[in-house]
Amino acid sequence: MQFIPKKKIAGIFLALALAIGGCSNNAVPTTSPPKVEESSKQVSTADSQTATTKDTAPTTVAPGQKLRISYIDVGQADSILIQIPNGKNVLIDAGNNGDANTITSYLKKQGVSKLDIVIATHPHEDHIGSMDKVINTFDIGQVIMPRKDSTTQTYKDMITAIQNKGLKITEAKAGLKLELGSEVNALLIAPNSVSYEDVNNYSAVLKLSYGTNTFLFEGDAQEQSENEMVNSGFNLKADVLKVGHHGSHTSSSIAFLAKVQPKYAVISVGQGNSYGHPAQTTIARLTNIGSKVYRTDQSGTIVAEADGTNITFNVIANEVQPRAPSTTTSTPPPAAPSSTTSNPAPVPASSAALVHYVVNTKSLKFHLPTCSGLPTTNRADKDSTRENLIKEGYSPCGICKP
Amino acid sequence: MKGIIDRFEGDFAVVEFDGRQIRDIPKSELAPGAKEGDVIFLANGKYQVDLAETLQRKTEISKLTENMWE
Repeated sequence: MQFIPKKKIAGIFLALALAIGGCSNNAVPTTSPPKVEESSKQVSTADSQTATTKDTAPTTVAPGQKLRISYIDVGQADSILIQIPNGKNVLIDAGNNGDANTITSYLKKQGVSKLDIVIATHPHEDHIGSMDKVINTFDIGQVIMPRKDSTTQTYKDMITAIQNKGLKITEAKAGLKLELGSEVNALLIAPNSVSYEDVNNYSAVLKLSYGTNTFLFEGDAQEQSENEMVNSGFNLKADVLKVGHHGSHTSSSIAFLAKVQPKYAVISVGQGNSYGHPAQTTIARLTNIGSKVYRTDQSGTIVAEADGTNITFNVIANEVQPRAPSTTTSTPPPAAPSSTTSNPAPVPASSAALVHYVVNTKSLKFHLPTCSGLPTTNRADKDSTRENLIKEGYSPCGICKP
Repeated sequence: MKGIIDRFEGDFAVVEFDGRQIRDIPKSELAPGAKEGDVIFLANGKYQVDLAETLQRKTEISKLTENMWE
């Protein structure tokens, strides 16, 4: 797998950084964090401690040092490895029961011998399936899990593995800070409640900062938990979002995505799964806010590298053709990872509020580009907002309900 | 052959059988009211809930984890 030469896109990112320099849609009043400049200006720990408890402040990082995040391809499941330049490692989830070899051999290949923190987002088998094997195989520092039992043997075996190592479990809840050294700030922003009807909503959600780069890992958090995060006052803005619940329609609510505004979205999902993941609506919502979408079912293991300012991926995002009317229910063919050096510039945050719509200039209906009932005549494309189109006299389509 | 409902996904219950074998069971094959965490067994073409064993497992697991939290 080829990494995209960074030189090519560094200029784009620089231009982008200048274009959007420090603008923020964050409605939450927070102390503005110190800017990380090229001169290694020190952010004192006092600053990052007191900056806010509702966000992860930017950190000071050494030039050329990279944070590496692997969204491991474990099919219809999640497993994510975070490698910090200071040598600390975090594993979020451990795939299905059958993924033990995939995960342990991948970790060993990356030179991992100790997992400083292991997070089991919630006790479903597609997230904790191989956690017992992982715990038995590596040196483990801390285990973080929401306080929610399962009756499965899979869960019981994980608990037994934790016990056999003489470890205790730290309860996952919003506001928990992870101790991983000064290069990263890591904070759990969910779960915000003590109990939920749906186990997915217990998901531990992690926000991570490295330099000025930000990452959000959503587990299987669904709309109820997403709403709590939106209303909690946490700053949800993130460069990269690990999309909730394998891209299911139960997650990725509009209000949540509007707060996160991810430049990049990663969906961990199995090819041809029986559950219809990811949902077309999720893909449409992400592309409509300008996110580049990466999928493990199309690209295999996805590796993101952050140097504190720029983020590069080892694969090419799935370029959805926004103007092609969808005639079938099947997803477009995967963009084969290629050695192309062009990497389209991400949509600047300043225009992220604009959504691409297709309008019928005669019937005055407006549609999402993915709608099954797009006009073939009197068609025009508009980058606008829903409100503006309604102001202009257009009405939303009844099929795609934009 | 008993199973434990791990979760629901779309039209399926995802069920863990002996030896941690995972299988999708269509919701239509479950007795109404079967929930996540329930122990189920096949009888008369439908998966019924074994209430006693479900309760026993829940008790056993909470006992196992009660002193695990910091």
